[in-house]
Amino acid sequence: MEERIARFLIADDEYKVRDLIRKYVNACGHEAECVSNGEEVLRKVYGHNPYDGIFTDLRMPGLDGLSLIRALYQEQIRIPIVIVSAFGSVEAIVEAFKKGALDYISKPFSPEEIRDAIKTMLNQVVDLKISSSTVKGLIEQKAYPGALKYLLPLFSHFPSSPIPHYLYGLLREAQGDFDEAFRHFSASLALDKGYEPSAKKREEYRPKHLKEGKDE
Amino acid sequence: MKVVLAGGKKITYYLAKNLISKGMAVTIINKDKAFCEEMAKTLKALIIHGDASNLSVLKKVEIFDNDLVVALTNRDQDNLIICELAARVLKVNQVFSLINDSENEQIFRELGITNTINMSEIFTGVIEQRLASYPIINLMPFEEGKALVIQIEVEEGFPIVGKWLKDLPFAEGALVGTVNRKGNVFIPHGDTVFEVGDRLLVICLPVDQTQTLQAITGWD
Amino acid sequence: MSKRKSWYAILIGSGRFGARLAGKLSNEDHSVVVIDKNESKFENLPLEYTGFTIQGDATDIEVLKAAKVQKADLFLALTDDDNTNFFVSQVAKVIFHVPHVISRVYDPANLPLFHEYKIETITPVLLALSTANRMLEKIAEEEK
Repeated sequence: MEERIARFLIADDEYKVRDLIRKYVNACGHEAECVSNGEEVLRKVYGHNPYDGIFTDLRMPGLDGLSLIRALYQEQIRIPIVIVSAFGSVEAIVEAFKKGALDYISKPFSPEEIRDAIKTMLNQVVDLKISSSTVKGLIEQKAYPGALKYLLPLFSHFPSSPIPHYLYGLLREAQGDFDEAFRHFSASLALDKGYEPSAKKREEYRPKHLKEGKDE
Repeated sequence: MKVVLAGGKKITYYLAKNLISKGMAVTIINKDKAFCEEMAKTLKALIIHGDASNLSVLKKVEIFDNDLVVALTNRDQDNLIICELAARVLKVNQVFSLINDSENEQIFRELGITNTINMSEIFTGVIEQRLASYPIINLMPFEEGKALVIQIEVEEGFPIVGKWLKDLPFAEGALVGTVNRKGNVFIPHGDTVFEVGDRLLVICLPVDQTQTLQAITGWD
Repeated sequence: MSKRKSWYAILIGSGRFGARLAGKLSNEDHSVVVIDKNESKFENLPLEYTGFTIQGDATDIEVLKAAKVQKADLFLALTDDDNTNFFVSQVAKVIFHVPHVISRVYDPANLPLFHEYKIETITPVLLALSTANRMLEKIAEEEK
């Protein structure tokens, strides 16, 4: 697996705990930001900060962990979430898992547990790569309905990623709908200006679509 | 061969009495000076005042490898070290330990102390056996176990059926609190006659439990 | 992962020694759990301590399980009772297979037992004795 620096968000009202998690995330070579409640998490996430995962406590003043997970679920924002909590009722944990939490770490935790959770969360992200290569393969085989079926869930799972739009652009392109394809390559770039596959595609299209207007 | 009883009070006394009556030589080691003095007066045993988890105290006793060492303190960590000292340092072959917290039994076993006396398990076993044979609906200790509340349903063939409460051979420390007869709850008096299907709430001291249950059910 | 490994350390006993050691370990970015029967003993922990505390009797296996002793890299038995230290060290070593178990031993007579089970020991009396010896030797040296 390629080494890259991932970014995590840590929510816990106890500064000692979030500090400890941050230390372990850093020790694994990744970055982390800390907040003390669920509202701040939502603010950060809505602020289009791309995170590879969230560590959250369940009990926090203001928006607690479960409410946070519910809110993210409702907004169809699928960021890998790991709960770090001293105690949670069985019901709360079950609901959290249903609504997308990947793992539950009880306090006290060891460095190893945080390390494993990071791996789990990053593996989720790798899933996007696997899915996108599947989609590309299906487009090449002209299996368009299959590709669409694979592709659509990616939008809700990775709403802040440029990849789903790029893939959708490829699909429409293959189906001959160049206008729609161009719009999606543009949407992809709007999410991430530096996403090269989309930038390349749009360059190809630019002469054909000058009438679309100056987009700067 | 002698038996060394390390720590413990009541259980040590009864065990020692029993062993002595069977002709065995008994040595008691106890931290409590008053207890040691009392035992010295009442038992024909060698009594040593000291901490049995202290090797120098154990050495004073001159324990030989064919002796038997029984750790009877109310702290499992003390029992473990007594057994380990006896088995490892003094090379005693037969080491027994009282287990206070049943969860520690596994620990003792993994550490090679396989002769364990798990009190709570034994008591639970005995009580469960007893309960299995009585038509008790509920039995709950209260006031830290100093008293028991037993809920019991009167069945066909019980000696109390058709009898007056005042005629029952109840112990001093037992009484029938309430009777639930087909949904009507009342407090019985001496002239109350019991019927099949009555649900009784009996309050008794733990020592009177057996006698009380016998009086109601007629069972052993 | 070029950084030095973080340990998961469990300390039994939050007395002056245990609490200071816990502070030092947590300062060095290790994950630390301190267990003590007496909650007020946690007041001994330095302000900058960033680890966890559990109030409970470490001879109760449930308490050790709650501290996740099976994940520990390091286990230190630091209560003021040798028997308790021996017991919890044994449990850590034999039942939970903690790789490094260190115990405080007050009575040097108990040392052989701890060593037989490969438990590393800290004996305050012996440490003080060797320090005193060194001082005396130095004084004798100076008087020559």
